[in-house]
Amino acid sequence: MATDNVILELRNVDAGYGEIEVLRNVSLRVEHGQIVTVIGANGAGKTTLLRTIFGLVKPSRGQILYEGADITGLPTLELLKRGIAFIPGGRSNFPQMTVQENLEMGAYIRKDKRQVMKDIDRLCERFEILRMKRHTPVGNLSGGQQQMVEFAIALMLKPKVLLIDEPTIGLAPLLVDEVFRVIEEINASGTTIVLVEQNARRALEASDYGFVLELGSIRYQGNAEQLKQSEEVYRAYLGER
Amino acid sequence: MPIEVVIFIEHIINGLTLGAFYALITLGLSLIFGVARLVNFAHGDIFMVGGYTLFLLLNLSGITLPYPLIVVLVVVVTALVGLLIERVVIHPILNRSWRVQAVATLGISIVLQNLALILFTSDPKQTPTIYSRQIIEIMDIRISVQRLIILVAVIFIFLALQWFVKHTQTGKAMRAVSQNREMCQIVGIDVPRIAMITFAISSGLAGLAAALMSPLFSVMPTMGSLLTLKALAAVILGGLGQVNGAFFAAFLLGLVEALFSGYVSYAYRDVVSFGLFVLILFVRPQGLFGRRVGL
Repeated sequence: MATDNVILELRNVDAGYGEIEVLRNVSLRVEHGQIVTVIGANGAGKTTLLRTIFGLVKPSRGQILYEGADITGLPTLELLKRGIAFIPGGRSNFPQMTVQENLEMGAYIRKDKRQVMKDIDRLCERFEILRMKRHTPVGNLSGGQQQMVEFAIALMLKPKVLLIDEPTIGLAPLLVDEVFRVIEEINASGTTIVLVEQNARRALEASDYGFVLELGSIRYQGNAEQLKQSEEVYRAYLGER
Repeated sequence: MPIEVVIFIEHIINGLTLGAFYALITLGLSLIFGVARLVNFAHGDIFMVGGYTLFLLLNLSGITLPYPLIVVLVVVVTALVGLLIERVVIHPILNRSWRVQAVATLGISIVLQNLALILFTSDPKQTPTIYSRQIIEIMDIRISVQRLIILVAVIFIFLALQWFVKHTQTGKAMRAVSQNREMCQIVGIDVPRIAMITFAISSGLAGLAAALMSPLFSVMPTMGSLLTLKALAAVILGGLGQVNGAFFAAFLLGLVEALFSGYVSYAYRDVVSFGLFVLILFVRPQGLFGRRVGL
């Protein structure tokens, strides 16, 4: 990888919760404009990796660099302002607020409220489901629809890097394709994506590059094609050929 | 009109006033619970601080302030007291266990009550206003103007609060915090700041209740303790976290108390309201307006 094109980099990062260390000596680089997937078994530390990048978990060792600047230990609010956004797994919205209000909360830190309203209009044009359910409480929407709202919440800040945790968990196969279509579309408009996904095969198909996390450390990495071809990765994470 | 009907209507009006008063206290308690996930056992004592503030403002030597101005001043003072308490005591324990929070807010309650005891002694203080003795009579029904003011003010405050949480950035953030605190961090909503604002608002509401209601009673250091428990009962009855539910449960409590003390026994009214509370929880553990959580 060329160094000059790297937007996000982790150098020898250890992180965890209190005494429990989850990530051990993780180093990785994400290039500008790519979709990068992190795969691994349950408990390998995939979610912790995203939370560490987003400042929700403080690393006990190592460095995190973003656009060439050291962001290790910076508060989440600062990272949001600099262009990193996070879509957590599970239901991450405000269930009793309408789609419109959820999007407004996504833009909470923005000061240009008039432009926010225009951006919401634009997102509603882009995603039909948002337009149809604009004034419905998000909790009344289906799982797939809620996932779309969660994407849209993150897009309100026009992030340069979007961290996405398990976006297809619990969704029907047809919706899984829809979610990946949206991820590719967001990427095509210039956002770098770091994706954690249990559906490893599908995720690698959409990605440029992949990392395999095992017991909190990077075990393999490579182009998505290389990973799919690797015998070991295949057996462990992608099932029988 | 037959005297029985007149008495009945008077009891209903008394009940509605009492309910409106409970509702004002309950709104604040419920807001704090919703936003900070914390039961503020000192909420009634902030009401008591409002009562003494009213007493002091009514007895300023030399000047007589107009009552509406006094009400505003009491609200401002209690909101500031709430803000101070939040900064000093609540803020450091926002993310601690409910045990720590219960002990801390009970501590505030004890400190405030004893401060009042030192400053004002345990003698009840009267805080009459020009409205508390004014009576209007419609078709033999006699209502004190003070009670009417309470009813109107509470309905106005309720509508204003509804507007606030639906249409302002801060109000929406308060709802967001009560629905998904983790997600607030992710979109950059400053949860401690929202909790602080909520504390100030709800303390101000307790102050408003004191400024409007104490002219009908008297002001004492312990006037808030039982009130905290009654408001808590209304919060639980309404369904935890359901601000509107708590508001209506407070009215229900007021009506039941007024009718019972009017027709049966004044001395046993607290037994009845807490008895009703236990009974309703027995039938509907999720509260009157709450939703079942879990399976």
